[in-house]
Amino acid sequence: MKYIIQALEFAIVTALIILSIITFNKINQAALFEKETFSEEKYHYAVITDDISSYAYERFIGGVDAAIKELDSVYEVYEVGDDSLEDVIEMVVITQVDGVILRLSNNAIASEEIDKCKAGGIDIITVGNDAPDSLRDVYIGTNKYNLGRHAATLAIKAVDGPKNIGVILGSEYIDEESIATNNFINGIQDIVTKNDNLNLSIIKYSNSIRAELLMDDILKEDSPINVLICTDPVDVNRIIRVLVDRNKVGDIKIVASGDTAEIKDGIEKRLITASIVEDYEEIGNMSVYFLNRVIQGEGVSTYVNVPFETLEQRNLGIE
Amino acid sequence: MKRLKNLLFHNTLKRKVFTFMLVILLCFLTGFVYTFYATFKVNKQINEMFTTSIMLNEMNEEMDQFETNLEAYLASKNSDSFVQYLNYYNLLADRASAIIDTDSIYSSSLQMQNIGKLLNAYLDASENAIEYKRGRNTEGYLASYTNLLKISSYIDLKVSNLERMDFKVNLQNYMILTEKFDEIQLGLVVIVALLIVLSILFVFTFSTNVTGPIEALSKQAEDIAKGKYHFEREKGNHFKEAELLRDTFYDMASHIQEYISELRDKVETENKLRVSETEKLKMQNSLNQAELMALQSQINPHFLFNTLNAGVQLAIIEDAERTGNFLEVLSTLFRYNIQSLQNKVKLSDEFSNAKKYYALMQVRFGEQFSFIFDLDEQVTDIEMPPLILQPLLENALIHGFKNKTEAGVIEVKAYATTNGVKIEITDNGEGIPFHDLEKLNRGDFRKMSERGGHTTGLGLGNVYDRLNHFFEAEGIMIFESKINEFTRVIISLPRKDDTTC
Repeated sequence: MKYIIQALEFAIVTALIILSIITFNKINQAALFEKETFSEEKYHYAVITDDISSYAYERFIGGVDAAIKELDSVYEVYEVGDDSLEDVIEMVVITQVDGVILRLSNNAIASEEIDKCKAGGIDIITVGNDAPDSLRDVYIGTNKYNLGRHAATLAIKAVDGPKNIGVILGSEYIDEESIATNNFINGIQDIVTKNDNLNLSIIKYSNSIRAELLMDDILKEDSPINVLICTDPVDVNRIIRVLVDRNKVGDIKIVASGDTAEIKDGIEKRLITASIVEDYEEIGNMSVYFLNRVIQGEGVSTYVNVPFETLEQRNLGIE
Repeated sequence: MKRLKNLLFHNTLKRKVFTFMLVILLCFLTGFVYTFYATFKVNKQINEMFTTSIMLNEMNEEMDQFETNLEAYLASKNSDSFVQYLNYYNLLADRASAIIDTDSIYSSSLQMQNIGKLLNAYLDASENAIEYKRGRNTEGYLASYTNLLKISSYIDLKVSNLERMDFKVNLQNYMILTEKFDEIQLGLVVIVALLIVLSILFVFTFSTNVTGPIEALSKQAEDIAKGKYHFEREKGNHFKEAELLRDTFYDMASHIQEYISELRDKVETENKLRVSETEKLKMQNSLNQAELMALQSQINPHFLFNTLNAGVQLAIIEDAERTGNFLEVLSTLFRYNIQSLQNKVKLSDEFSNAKKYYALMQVRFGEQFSFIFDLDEQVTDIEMPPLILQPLLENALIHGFKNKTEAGVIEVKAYATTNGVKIEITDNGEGIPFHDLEKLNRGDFRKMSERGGHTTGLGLGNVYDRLNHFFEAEGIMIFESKINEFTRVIISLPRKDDTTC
């Protein structure tokens, strides 16, 4: 009996110690999420954008975030829309940010604000599309003209014989007048004009109307298209759904953008001919590194081209 | 100091109680501190979640009051409004400093730093508006005031962004805290429950430790009271007082046991002494009786002895040689007979006396009986009580041939054995019936002793007792017999030394 009690006491003391350690750890693990870890020594960046919901933005901001963490800096995102660009710029000037990454659908129209920033001692780089007339320090992005040319080339390869090409422009090409939009379309046109059997018949923007509706409209057109170039992965998924619903799969070849799982799946199932992959993440990453180097006074190239890739069945290992 | 040392370093009951209370107290104190720590930590984290929100809310209210008073001053130059404006200005300036201060709790919050900077710009704009107002520059103060309102809207925007972000984080934190707190609470409940169980076990162990040795000693005390002195000694490392009690108890028990043992030995010795005394008294009584009988018988022998001497002298005078010899033998026999029974005689003396007795009996009975004597030369000097053989011969003569007409032969033989000397008196008489023989061998001579008249008066019982007392041994004399064939008395004298068996 004595030994049983002693064993019981020992077991309880052991259980108490273990339980105490577990509970203590739980108490300590119940630490709150750190809201921010800012300090005066860290660089403070502002990302100003008019698009915070697209696939391109998600990838871009992912790249920014990774680079910011690596450089132990902080950043904040200002969305132009509810607040005017002017107000946003004034705020970043008052709050004395160290650098601004400007990512608008048409950076060229923000030249004046870019110059205000520079006047306020804030370094600024543009991404996605350039503002060549401004005092921006660096432009980082893909060459949209070449991108357009490549898209058109892929469209030619997709269909034999005469080709009627349609284009649905996504989040990056909201502004019809932006340099990026113009360069992309001009790139396509360059190839189209050089091929007699090629015709660019439709250009549509998905920023105001959903891609499904645009696709429905396209299908109702008198002169049906053979190939559709789509610049947004989200739009691609929507378009494919319409084609499946309308039993038009194979009638219209699709040249997509992006490397999402759905797009890869579409390529595997031959719903998509090819996909052009702009490395938005790399753009976000490089924008932070270049801005950091500019702030530190290092000499950097004022134009940084980020190359794009092509996803096809052959490089997915299917063929 | 000494008492403290005793308390700390000696395994005393006091220390045991002290340690027990301390352990229980520590258990519950630990549980309490633990619970307090958990509650404190969670409470602190909950407070932290809302500290910023409370501060920003206060700042917004101050900004509203600030703007109202500034507007009033700008509109009417009201000095009260200006005083109020200054008050709020100071309050907001302090807040801005507190926010931007690198040591403040907001120094790690980018959004709070932005708000601090915007607040400074906001206050600067108000100063500009006041300056322009004083300089009567209407456009200037209106522009500054408009700028102030714009910055105010920026601050609102930042506050709203911050609160939105904070709410998101706080919500996550709240969820974590709620989940963790439930687990922690469960853990604490289990800890408290285990502490209670442990305390109960401690109390049980403690009470067993304290009362255990006392209970064991009580049981052993009961055993001692019942006369059981042999018990297993309690072992184990108890507290000092219990050990002292135990050792003292065992010492006491041991002393009692020794005392009782001594008492028992004493009683046994006394009993033995008493038995010995009784035996001695019995012996003395027998001797006295024998001596009394001898004295009684000495009256005649002395008279006869003197008379016989006179007869011997008369026979010599008258040349009656045979009668003279007879009377001389008779006289010698009487002389031997009247000696004290406490004397020691040699076996040869006993044989000599027996032969004299035979000589007398020959005169009386003629050829009817014949005695054969065979004495080993080695045992002639053996000492023994007197008058042993004669009563046995008398007994054989009287009882052995009472109803027998044939000539009787009585053989008296003594020889050495490995353990001593054996004397055998064998007659070819009528024998002794079996039940009488058994009685004789058991030492029951009552019937035999009662018979008298023709003998010395010393019965078999007397002979038997004297032999036993002399040699301090039992079974010295045994009887063998076969009806109509023989009766043999065997006396085994144990060897004592060279002369005495």
